[in-house]
Amino acid sequence: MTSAPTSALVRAVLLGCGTAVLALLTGRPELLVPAAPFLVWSVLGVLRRPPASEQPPTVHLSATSISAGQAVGVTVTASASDRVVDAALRPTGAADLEPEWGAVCDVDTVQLKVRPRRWGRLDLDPVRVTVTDVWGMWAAHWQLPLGRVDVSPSATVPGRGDAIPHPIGMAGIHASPRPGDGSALADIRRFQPGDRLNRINWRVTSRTGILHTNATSSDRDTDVLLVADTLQDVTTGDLSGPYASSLDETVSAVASLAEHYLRLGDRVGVHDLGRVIGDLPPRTGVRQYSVLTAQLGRVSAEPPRSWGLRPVGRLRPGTFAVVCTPLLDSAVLTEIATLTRRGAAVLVVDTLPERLGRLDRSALDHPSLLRRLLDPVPPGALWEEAWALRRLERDADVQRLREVGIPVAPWQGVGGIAALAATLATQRPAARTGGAR
Amino acid sequence: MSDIADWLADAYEWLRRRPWPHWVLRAVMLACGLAAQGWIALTAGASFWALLGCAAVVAGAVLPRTLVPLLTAGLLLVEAAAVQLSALALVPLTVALLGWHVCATLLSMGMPWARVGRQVARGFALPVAAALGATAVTVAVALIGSGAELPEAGPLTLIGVLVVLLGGIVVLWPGGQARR
Repeated sequence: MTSAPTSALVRAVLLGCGTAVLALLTGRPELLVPAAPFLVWSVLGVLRRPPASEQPPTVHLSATSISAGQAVGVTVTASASDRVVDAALRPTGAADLEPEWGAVCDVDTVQLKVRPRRWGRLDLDPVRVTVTDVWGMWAAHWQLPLGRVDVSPSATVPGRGDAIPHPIGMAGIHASPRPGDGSALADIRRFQPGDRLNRINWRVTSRTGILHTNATSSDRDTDVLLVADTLQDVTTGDLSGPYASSLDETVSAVASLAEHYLRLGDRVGVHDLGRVIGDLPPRTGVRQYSVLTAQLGRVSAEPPRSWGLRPVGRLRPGTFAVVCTPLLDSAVLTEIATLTRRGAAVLVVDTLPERLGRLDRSALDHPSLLRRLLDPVPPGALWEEAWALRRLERDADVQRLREVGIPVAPWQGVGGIAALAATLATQRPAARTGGAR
Repeated sequence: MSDIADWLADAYEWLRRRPWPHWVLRAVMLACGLAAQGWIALTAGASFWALLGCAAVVAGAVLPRTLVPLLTAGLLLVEAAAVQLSALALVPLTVALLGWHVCATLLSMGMPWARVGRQVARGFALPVAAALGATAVTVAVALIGSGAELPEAGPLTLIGVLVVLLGGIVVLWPGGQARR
């Protein structure tokens, strides 16, 4: 790497020397008047030559692991004072840059911001840095590697609910149909030896004349299996905003549901039907959520390769299985039926982007006037109509699932899923859940 | 049709990418260049060279990161030498050319679409002041020595040319100390 004279120094030297030569050749000393400032500029330039011991600039990333929607700062600092640092990142479709075009120039230190557009691993291109002295006379060029940023999907989705169709654990907060030492009133029955005295129902006892006691159902935790259908990533080029693709929506649903049920104290596991995000064995606690988000952050959010469906392995009967899928693959429908047959309480979250195949699309997705003028019939103009037809075909599958008692709901946050889970809990016959009473 | 549309889209993108201080600098550079050419034309009268100078100034303001600003400034200096401006008349031309040079230098710092901090422009205060001071001193010396006769051209001129050329080579040569 050589610190080379800039075009400004070359211009000053050539103008100064050239005019001086002209003055000598023509014998006109007054021509030294326009030569003088450029000669002085050239002399100052020589005096400002960077020393050989000067170190390359340093680059610092503010974070290597962030959540979706957050930005990471790239700070480039010159090794010596009075240096102009010019840093430029190549704009990509994977991230928004600040400044918009990814280049900034200032004295000593500059900062750029990179805001990833999607979850998953973001490999940053090297930053191109030019360090110039403060008078713009000498410049040195560098390419500094930045590495990668892990972007975990955001799980800040509003809506709560703690109902679970069939709690199968030993202790937790979900009301179980099994009698036991809990908080939810299940029945009022005759007092039996061994019952707690503080649970005697004195009103019923005084009315009937026979000692009665309150019976409660036990509070339990459960196994929640989040099944992610990563076999396809469905989107169109001009969809924008959150959940722009089915994979984005699936991963966001998985992260949000995991966060929700881990907070409730349940054991949450993840099964990936494709081979994109990987599996996670069921565990409980906040650490499990950290492991999940870190795992999702490291994933390359490229379109998945078609390696076929990986069926769910071991499964405890009564497990609450939430299948997040765009419902486009018949193999996934078969897997949902298999899960139900194996005794899981299955709930399907439809992650096909809501706006895909809707012919009344929002103004957000309409191309700009200039784009329409330049390209009146863009390629793929009839995709929406094609997707509308595919939606109609898919509606038949959704209807079949509902007919066999498997609820299907579009992903609109944890609240909607929790409400469906509560409905599932009330509809579920006691015999299938263990028949307690 | 598609090529024209692509060209239009590229041109629109090129214009959109440049920040507004960039356009202000280009305008100042254009003003400096036109002022220098206008001063020569005002002093010596309009000619074909003035027209050529104006075209060169516009080209230099359009392409500030290339050799064109150097060639434009060279053309203006040759024009000034040809019309035999006096030492005092050369001062406005020198100041305008200095402004031209500073604007071209600022426009060539950083990427063309980079957001440039204000500190970068402030850093040029010292060399600009030094250059203006040198101009004032040279004008004073030229006025004082205007009555003096230069010795016969010949060996002295050749020696002077060689010294200036060697000085230029020494200044521009990237020495071993600058290597990393």
